[in-house]
Amino acid sequence: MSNLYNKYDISLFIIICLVGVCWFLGISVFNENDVNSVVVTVDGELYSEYKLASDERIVIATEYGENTFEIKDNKVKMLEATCKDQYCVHQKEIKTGNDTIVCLPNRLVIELSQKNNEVDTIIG
Amino acid sequence: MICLIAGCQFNKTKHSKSFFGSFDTIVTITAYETDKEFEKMMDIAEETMSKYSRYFDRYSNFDGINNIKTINDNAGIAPVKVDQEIIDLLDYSIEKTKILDGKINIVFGAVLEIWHEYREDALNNDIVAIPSIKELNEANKHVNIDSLKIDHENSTVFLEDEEMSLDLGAIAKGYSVELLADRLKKEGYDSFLINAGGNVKAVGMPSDTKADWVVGIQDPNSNGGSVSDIVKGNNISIVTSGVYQRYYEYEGERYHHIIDTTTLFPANIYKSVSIISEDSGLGDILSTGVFLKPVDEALSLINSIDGVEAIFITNDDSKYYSDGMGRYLDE
Repeated sequence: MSNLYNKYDISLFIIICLVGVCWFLGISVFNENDVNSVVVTVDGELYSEYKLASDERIVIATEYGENTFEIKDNKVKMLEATCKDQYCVHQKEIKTGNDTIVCLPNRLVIELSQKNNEVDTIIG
Repeated sequence: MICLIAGCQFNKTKHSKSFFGSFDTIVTITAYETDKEFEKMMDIAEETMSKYSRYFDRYSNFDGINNIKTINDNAGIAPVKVDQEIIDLLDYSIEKTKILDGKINIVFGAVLEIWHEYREDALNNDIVAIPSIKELNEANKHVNIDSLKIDHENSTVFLEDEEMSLDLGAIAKGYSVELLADRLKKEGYDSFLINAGGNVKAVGMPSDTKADWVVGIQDPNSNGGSVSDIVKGNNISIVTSGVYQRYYEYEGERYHHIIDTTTLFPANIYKSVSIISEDSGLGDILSTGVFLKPVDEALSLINSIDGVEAIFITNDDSKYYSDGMGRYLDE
């Protein structure tokens, strides 16, 4: 009985550690996403992502048109758009997990993502 | 480890994705599915909605299909041979709009066209005006549903009056959402949510741990911001007609796109009307139809139909619920 632990014990130990590390990583990733982030999609595809807590002015120029929005004081507001109807520019700033800004002509959607948000969709 | 990696790929997680181009709006599909199955659902959704969007379009022609515009272009000229999908939509519309005693007329196109032009001019060309009552009355002579001839045997549709035109704007989107839901169910999907620009259809339980789909109804005063009500349920449709987005202003008055078949002018009673029912096509018809009725009439109509509930928000921000609405709302 020279070895206190046999090789299976060591393997098991390593596996438990790995599972633990993954668990921890998984939880931190989850927590990271739990903080509101600003998600921009163009034509249904993820385009870019920003922290709601940041302070910046962003220009999104795509084949469909150009939109300029601002993230400030945990709020997002569309400032300029090349679209005809300008509905997105007239829309109020958004700040909670349910809010979206849609620019239909430019196929652009700005959403505030919140992992623990239970609302599946907004209608109106 | 293998289990963890595998878990990421095959676990059913919440997916939500949108596409543009059908019915001039954004269509979003939400489902608790695997990546692979969700991709398949998106493909089916995009193909189906794009197909119906072309069939039911009254402003554009498309190669290889006769659509609503083809029928309108041939008004007073010749019957148009169409696919069964169009005949079905027309039959459905004629049957279901009866409930609204004339408030929804699918051959009201001549009048709607005039308003459409004035609205486009105001929004796109800065030419702001409203049509004269004379102009509207003239168009209103060409809205007789009896002049719509559907030949089921030969699959043709004919508008006998050359000035007349079909407009299915109050029905086509909700009806197509219902057809898409049927198609997805046929493909074996029993849990998903479709949101096509104001027309929501929620099917099945979202997941093993979540019994109801949760739909937020936008507060008409927040202009895209917060939610006024939260509706929960499964196997239901929620359709909202709101006018706080598509309107123009003339001499301080707002002119939106829901036109009263009696006054020939936009109805100015509500900011938003939401209908909860099983059939999204019926929900679409009712949300537009009720929009044109005073609150008491609208409420008694909704309360008289089994399985249909509603939320009304009037211009003065009063909110009304139908008798059975409570069971869909958060306590």
